Amino acid sequence: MNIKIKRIMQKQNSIDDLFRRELADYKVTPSDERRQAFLRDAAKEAGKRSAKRWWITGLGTGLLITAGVGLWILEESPVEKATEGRHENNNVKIFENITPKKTDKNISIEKKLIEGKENPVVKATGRKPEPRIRMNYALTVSQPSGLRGHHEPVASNTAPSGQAKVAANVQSIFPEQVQETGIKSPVKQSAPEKQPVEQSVPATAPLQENEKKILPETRNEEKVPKHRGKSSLPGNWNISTGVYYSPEWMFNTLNGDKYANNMGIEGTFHFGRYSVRTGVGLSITTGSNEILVQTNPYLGSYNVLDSIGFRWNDKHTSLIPTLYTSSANAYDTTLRYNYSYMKKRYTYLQVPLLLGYDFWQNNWLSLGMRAGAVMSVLLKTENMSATYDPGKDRIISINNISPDRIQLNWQAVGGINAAFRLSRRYSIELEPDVKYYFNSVYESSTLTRKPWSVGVRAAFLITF
Amino acid sequence: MLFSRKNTEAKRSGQGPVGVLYDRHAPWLLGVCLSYTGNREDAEDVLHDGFMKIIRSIGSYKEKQPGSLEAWMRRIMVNTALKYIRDHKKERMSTELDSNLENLQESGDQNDFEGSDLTKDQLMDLICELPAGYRTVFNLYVMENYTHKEIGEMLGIAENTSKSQLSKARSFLRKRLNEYQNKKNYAKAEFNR
Repeated sequence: MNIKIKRIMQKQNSIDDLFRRELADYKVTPSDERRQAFLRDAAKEAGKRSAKRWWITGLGTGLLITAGVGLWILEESPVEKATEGRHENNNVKIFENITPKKTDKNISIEKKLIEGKENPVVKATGRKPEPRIRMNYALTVSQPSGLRGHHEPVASNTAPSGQAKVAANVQSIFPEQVQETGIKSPVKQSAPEKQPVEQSVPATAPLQENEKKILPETRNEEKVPKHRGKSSLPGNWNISTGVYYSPEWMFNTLNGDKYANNMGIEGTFHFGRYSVRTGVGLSITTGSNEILVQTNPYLGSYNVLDSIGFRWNDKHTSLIPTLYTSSANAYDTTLRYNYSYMKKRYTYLQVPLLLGYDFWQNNWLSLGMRAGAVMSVLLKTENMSATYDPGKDRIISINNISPDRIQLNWQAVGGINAAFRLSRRYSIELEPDVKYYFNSVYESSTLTRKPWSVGVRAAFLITF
Repeated sequence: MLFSRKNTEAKRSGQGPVGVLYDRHAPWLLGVCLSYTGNREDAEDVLHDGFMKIIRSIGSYKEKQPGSLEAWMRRIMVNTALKYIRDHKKERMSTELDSNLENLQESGDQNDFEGSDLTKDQLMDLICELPAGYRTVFNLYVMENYTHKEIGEMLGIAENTSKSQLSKARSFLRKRLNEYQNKKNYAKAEFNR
């Protein structure tokens, strides 16, 4: 039994090995037609990929440039500059001179809040005799207007007389408006030989703590730009109007892909993260129409005798005839059919109504979704190319083969909106969108193809 | 990048890198396709589709070791061929052979076919003569070294069906090889006489 199985296995393996060995490098040369067909398709594929790559690169570059310009404008915003200027005026340097007596043993400096106001109180208690100390505190002050006059630095010598002498000199452009907000380390500001003094003065720690308490208010104030108005905050509402331009590429039309220019004015009502947008605009697109012209071919011309006049000639004593003729064209009676293309320009009135929701917002940028419908009404059709020239042939009839455009159509629109706020009033928006036409744009019941399109809307808006 | 490596050759031959790639690999890949489809016309269709897939995804291919490109291309081509067979199911995968082939395994002679002098084209013809189901299983098992379990998963058939079809494919091939050997021996005998 085992021998039989072994034999079968051997036979099987021999067949497998035979085919595996012999057909491992089996080659058949493809036909030349197939090769050419493949290379054609591969070239088409490469073209598609290249076009796709260019689209992505272009879109990305456009977004980057827009974002960059937006940021640059934000940085250079005049309101921002005014805010910065006001801060610069309030920059004050405070120098404190602490001069303990020789009998002082220890020096402590405390900064206390008196009656809820941030008045630094400098105390010095002397234990050991110390050399003359001069501490320079370079204080960067940002003065909120509401707190002016309440933050005068107070230096008091609470030590017993003769133990220590502390002097605090405050040098300020507007001394009455001084408020401590940023105290730089004495070690950094003072001369190197004065560094040991800081070690012998443990009171710097409380100063830094108070500094931390005060600093966040003013720093936050510096960080939050003044011009970021209520428009970006949820729960508030505003209205913005502006102009927009949107190039649009239509697909699934009769004569291949089409390009359309859309522009107009619009108004948007914002309520927190939600928005409603409407407006009125023009959409201009072109199309080529095929026409069939029936003609009679021109054969030639001849003179038609219109009339004959006679005049008596005395010399020859005879009547001389005068022939009055006119030229007439001769045409073949057979019909000749000529196909011709005429380029037409269509102008639509567009009324969009879109709802929006911003899913991400910050002070200068918001991202959101927009969806809605657009109504398009055909206003005008113009012939852009010259009318058909039949030459000398006689035109019998001209028939439109391509259907004309319908007067009214509706589109569904959806897109992603990116709004860059340049200032409190001005903003720009970029919105890549996709449109789907609910009905065919042509006047033909047999054409059921519904176009769709992609576009990028760019808008400049003013917020009220 | 693979194509940049072949740029020199492409410039020399005056055609693009795709053309060079095609000329280099299409012949043996067409052999692979032929062994699955059984006829040249379908094989060229599969080659076309498979090569389009290859050039679309060659950007994502990373050569790990020499020869892996060929293995990668072969795999794509085999998958394309299997899809083609599924989409153009003219024959059921579980086509049964004639009943007179059933007993070949037991009654076959003891030839080991080691010294078979059939040409490669003749061997390929034998493969092409197999019913589609047998041919597919035979190729996947013998040429691609898949297990019956893997073949069953790929083709959506039971593991035992795969074994059965492989066995029947072998029987068919053995029979045809025996016929060839017998003819050859007969011719030799006639010649010696």
